[in-house]
Amino acid sequence: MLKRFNSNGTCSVVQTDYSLLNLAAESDFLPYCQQHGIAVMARGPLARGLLSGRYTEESTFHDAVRTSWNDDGPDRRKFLQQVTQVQKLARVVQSRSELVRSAVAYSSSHPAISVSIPGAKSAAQARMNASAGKTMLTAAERKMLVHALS
Amino acid sequence: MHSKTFGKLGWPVSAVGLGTWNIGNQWGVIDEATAWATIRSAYDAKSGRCDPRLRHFDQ
Repeated sequence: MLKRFNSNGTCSVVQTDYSLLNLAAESDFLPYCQQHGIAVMARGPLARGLLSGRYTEESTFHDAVRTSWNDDGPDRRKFLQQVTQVQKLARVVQSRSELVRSAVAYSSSHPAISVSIPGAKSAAQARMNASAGKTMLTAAERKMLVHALS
Repeated sequence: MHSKTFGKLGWPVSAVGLGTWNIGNQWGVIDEATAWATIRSAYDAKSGRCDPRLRHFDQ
């Protein structure tokens, strides 16, 4: 779709979901953007909070966005799989703060990404997310994080 | 805060910005003072780029 939209080369910026738990953009989308100078804003770098490490199989969600993760929700199975992945990742980082920083830095460090836009619901969360911008991960460090999920 | 280039537009932008869907009451109710404190905090941390979804704030 992006290739068709950009057929005359006028697309300057796109926003896409991109995180350690959604690497789909890495295969074709991000290389295409990089090749054509299209700025990419990465949304969802914390995968709706999953990569904050706050959630377990006991968590219950009441907001409009995540109720599908609840016991009777259509995305329950995927949620449980991803919680397990995040728990594995958490074992290789120092703390939950480091988990957040690593997840945000994973997205912002991709060469095709211009800016990663993690959401925040408090001043403390915004500060934590922003602190990830002090670090650019190397390709090897990024690869290690992906490996830690499995 | 690292700076990155905004594609062919060439603008220098903060590597990490602020997604504002969360404070637009899509993820539960956030009071206005908390929402502004969140934006202020991101701004002070040089997360200069804000997601235009801020428009949801009044919904």
